[in-house]
Amino acid sequence: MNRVEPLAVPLPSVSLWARWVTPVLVIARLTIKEATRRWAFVGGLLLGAGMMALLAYVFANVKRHGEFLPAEVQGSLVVHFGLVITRFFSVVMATALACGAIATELERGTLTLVVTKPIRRWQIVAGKWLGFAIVLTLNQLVWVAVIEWGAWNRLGAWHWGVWKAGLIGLLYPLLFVSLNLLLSVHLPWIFVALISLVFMGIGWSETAMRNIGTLANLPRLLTLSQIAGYLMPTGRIARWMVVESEVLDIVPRLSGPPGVEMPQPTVGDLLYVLAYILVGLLLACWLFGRREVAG
Amino acid sequence: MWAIETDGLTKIFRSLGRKPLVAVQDLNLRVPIGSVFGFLGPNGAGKTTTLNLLLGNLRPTRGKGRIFGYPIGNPEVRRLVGYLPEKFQFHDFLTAEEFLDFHARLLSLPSSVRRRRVDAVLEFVGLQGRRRSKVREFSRGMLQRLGIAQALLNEPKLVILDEPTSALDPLGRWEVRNLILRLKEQGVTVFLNSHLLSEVEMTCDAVAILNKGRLVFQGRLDELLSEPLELDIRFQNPSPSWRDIAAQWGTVVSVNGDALTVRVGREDAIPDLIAALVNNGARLMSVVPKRFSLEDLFVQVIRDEPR
Repeated sequence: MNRVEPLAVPLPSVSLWARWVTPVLVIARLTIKEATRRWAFVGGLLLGAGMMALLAYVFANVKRHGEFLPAEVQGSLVVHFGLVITRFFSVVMATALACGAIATELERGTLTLVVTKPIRRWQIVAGKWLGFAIVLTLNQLVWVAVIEWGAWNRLGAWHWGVWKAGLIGLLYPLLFVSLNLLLSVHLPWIFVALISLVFMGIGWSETAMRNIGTLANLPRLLTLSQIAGYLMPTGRIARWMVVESEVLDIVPRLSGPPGVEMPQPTVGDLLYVLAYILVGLLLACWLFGRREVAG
Repeated sequence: MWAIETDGLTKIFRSLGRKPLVAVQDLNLRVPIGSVFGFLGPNGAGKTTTLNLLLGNLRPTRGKGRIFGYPIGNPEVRRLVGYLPEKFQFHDFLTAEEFLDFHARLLSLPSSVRRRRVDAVLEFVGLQGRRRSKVREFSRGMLQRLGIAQALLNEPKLVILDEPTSALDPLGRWEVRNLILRLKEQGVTVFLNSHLLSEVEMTCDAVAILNKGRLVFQGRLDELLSEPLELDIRFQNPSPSWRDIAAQWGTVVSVNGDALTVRVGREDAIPDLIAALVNNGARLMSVVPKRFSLEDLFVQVIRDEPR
């Protein structure tokens, strides 16, 4: 910044908190307000919760060889498949909320006034990320509570693994919020949503390719699976969730098909996912800072 | 010290496969503090690009600019600025009060000041009675007023208005004109980008005209419009000799039957011209002074520009 001579019009004095933190919180507050009034959120929340409740009902009534499944198996299935549903719906919801966060809002004109206020561009991105993170955390808590209710109904006791796995599962939507914000700096929402779906597919294909590659002994497919795991590390989160949900002792087959051993999740996996989220967010901040905005 | 000062400010848009577009070229603008400054130009002249450069939304290709001496692009300088863009859309699920509160928070106004300022600007633009109405229920004119209200929240030293009356009815325009004059009385610099030349003429102290990205005119409005002055004189007893007498005091622009149009250099030449005509036997039916309007000036300046 250029050095300036003494000026006749001094800048208003503002505390460091007001300069650096307040704008992020203000944008986060607006983002929460905006997100919670959208059908994508309300509908997704209710649909997800409804599906989990339905799951609990279905497993409670499944019969094998004319007999109901043991209660602990029912509980484990509710937990496992409930968490699978949260993974899918949380990604869809994160994408629905964040895909139009920047470019589309600029095009619509709702960000036009905001960028002319004394706010840094990175604060807008960080505020939106924080707002979405809070909304999706609340959403995840509701879903996990429904799963816990389903499990408690079968087991007659709390199943704390649901909460541990649910907490780790929160990384799913956060990953996609970062990805969506990054893409939405320049792309309209429809492209962001499509690319997001492609990335979702890449993430899910990791496990599928690993399973097929192992069973059919196809080393190239295993390599592709590894690449997919780096490109979109949702598989790493899924494995952590399976382990932390404490269902494998009761139904070991939930770890994967027979003959395929699920890789044991490591702390490195979690760190990789956290780094992925952080790098995505930082890149989005940087790119939006560089982007020119014609109001 | 200027409210806005630019030196060689240039913006060239480049995109793959297209010819570079020079939107603003070597702009040297000086906007005095406390003035109401009209920024004019035909469509596509580069006015909005200039505003975006001043606000830091676009980065200059070269040149520099300052607002109250602070370099443009410094977000902190925006604490001194209020801005109403031409095209905008508000978060329409908010009420007018919530919308203003949101912008006041972005300006980091303390809570006590925030409430006071929200009340004051709502009052100022006449929306006090609609403070709890959702923005989506507002008409375009009301949205424009709300936009003006948010531009005034921080008691700015410089207000930049991009076509502020484009959506307003005649009464609304009259109110905005008054508002601009009230801001001027308070010592606020107003930078007004408008297509409505009559509006600019009524409110502005100085104007700049931009054409094809280049500044083609800049000056004080009163000086620009006071001279030259044309007189339409109608005679009861037309005679060729009146033309020769008139030519001694100014330039005869046209002779049409019993009417003569004379352009005089100074306003105080008019009594002398009329006295000379009367003393030589002319009987005058009417003398109508015809001043140059801003529109005349605008058209002349733009036409004189090489195409």
